[in-house]
Amino acid sequence: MAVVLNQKCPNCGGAVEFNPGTQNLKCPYCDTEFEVAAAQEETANVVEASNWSTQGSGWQEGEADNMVVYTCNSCGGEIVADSATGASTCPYCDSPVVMKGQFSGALRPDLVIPFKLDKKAAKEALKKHFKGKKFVPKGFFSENRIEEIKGIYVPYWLFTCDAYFEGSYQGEKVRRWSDSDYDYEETSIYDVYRSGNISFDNVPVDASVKMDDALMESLEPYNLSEGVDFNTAYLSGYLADKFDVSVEDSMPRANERIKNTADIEFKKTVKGYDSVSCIDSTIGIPNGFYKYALYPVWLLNISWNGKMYPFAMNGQTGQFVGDIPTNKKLAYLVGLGGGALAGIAAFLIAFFAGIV
Amino acid sequence: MTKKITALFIALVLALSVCVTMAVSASAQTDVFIIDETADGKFYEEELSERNSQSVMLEENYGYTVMAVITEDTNGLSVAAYANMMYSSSTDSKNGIILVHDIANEDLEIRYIGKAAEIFDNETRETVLYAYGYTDTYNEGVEAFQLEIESVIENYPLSYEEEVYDSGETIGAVPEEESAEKSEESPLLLDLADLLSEKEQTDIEKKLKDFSKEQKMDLAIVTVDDLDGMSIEKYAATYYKSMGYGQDGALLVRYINKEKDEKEVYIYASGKAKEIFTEDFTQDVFDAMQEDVEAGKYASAFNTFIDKAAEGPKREINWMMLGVFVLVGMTIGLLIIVVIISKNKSIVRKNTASLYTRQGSMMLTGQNDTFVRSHVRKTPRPKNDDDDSSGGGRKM
Repeated sequence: MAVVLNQKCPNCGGAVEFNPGTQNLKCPYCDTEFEVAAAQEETANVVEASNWSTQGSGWQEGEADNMVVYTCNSCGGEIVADSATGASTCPYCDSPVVMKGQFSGALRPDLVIPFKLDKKAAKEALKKHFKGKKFVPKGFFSENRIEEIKGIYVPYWLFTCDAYFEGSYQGEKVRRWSDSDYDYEETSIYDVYRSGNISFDNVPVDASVKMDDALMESLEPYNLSEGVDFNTAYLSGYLADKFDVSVEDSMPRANERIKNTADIEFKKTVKGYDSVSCIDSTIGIPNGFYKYALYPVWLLNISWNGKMYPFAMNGQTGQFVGDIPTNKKLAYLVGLGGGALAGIAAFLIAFFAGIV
Repeated sequence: MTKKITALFIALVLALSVCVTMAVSASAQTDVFIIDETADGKFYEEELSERNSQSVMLEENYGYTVMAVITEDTNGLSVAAYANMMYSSSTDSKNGIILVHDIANEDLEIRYIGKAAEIFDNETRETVLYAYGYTDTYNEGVEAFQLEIESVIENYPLSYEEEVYDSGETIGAVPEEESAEKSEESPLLLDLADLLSEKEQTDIEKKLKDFSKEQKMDLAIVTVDDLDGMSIEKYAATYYKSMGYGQDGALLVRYINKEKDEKEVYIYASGKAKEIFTEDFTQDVFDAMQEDVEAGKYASAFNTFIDKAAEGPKREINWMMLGVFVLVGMTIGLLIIVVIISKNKSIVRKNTASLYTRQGSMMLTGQNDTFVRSHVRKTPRPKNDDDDSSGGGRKM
């Protein structure tokens, strides 16, 4: 049985939430605010081990593998959640709950970047993101949906390495001249070799299966200098997932991005040629290590015509991304129809001006 | 001291005034009315100066430009055409007389322009001609010509207000409306081939005047039985210019010479009239006139010409061009839509890690550039002859 933690207000006992504006914990019932460090001391006293265990024999084998049952410390309600869920809200009493077991021991994140922008800022950014966008299907965007935007800590693997690079290129120099009878073009071919070192710090790879990788990469960069040691208090009031993509499975993506960058940077050192093409390149990463981090993301999923459209905001920088669906029929009708009308208008102007 | 400065100032003003007067006077002297183009020169310098001064006097006193040209070569033109060309290239004055004597061909022509054409009747024209012919020297001939001209024009002096130039500028202040009326002085219908009755002439001329007033462009008709040795195109252009019609206008020339069994019709267009009398429209006008012209119903034919000119060319929609415009519009519209739609997308994968490169960490440990081979491609240069002309021929 998982251990459930919810931060309680030392004043009134209500469930407290992390406040991005002050970077402190705040009680929504009595407005008491106190530092995250203070809450850490309290945590030791409020952690309770539950003896509840999963019962019943109705589950088929493997059926409940990705499900975990938690008990809310505020109301005692039972919460069934995804096995990766690390923080959530109790559906019965709306208290923020943190599944401490998800982040303990080897699963404890090395660092967390706390939310700097609150829900209000996220809603404003979402509205701004939609502002001026054309041909958005009617009803796709509504105030009701904005309310559904959720703050979530997304797990990331951060890779740091010193890489060794080797690249072979073919360089071409072209010289042209002429005499009275002929034009000459001399092409000289060169074998070019470059090797060297290049280092990378904290290349992030999204470690959550549920999060779209492209969406998460679109939110980069995060300012890691504002990252702090992990404390479950930061998760209070937000959703949080523990990683469900292993570091081994995340490495290829980090390697790919690192190699692409090295390719570009070392190719820049091949100078003095009219054209350069890469023949072969290899990268070795003898010294690499990784960290486990939680990054703040405001997330809204909008379902439209059977398809899910995710919108996300970097909870630290405010960078907002998300593909907005287009009413393509209407767009092409307007484009083609408007173009045809403009063409007729232009023709009539040219006709009466005597040009055609 | 103050008096000295005042005196100095007055002296400067006077000196400047004298200089300006001399400059104006000198520039007036530069007008050349008597032109001797012969190789050996038929005039002494004093004679030329004297004759020129006489013409200056005639212009200043009576408003007419009196020119004389003695030449041995009319550049292939008839003497009449050469006279028109010399007059129009030498002066902007709309009223004047020019005498051209082609001594190589013993051909003499006197042209009367504008108001001068109205005040010289046949009798006075012959007098002028004889006055020039019955003298011993060219100087005496031109002098007699000038005297005879003076004897007529002194009875019809032009006021400064009447001296209207092609450029629209006038000597003295002439109101714009008055100036516009002056352009109507040149007859819009001249029936030299005698194809119309007097009533027909009156009606057509009125119609031409109405058209010219409404459309703000001159529409004129001339019928001739002699083209002065010119092609009808050249005759029309020369006639149009010599009559001093406006910049915008059109002229129908009907040439008919029964003795030579020659007949032709031509429309000359200038300025904005070119937009009306396009090649196609001119042919349409001729088609409409053809039946009447062939039947000798010239009044009806000329009325048709005026009516067609008033209607203007019927413009037909070029459907293929419309299709091209629509297609181009749709393509541009589609491109704009694609750009707009693309702005709705913002999720992009980041395929590099350049944001995470440790600053100053990149270091080259090995580099080698080895020459492998080279090859030269040789392309023959296109031959470029100095002769810019092109063309071809065939022996057959």
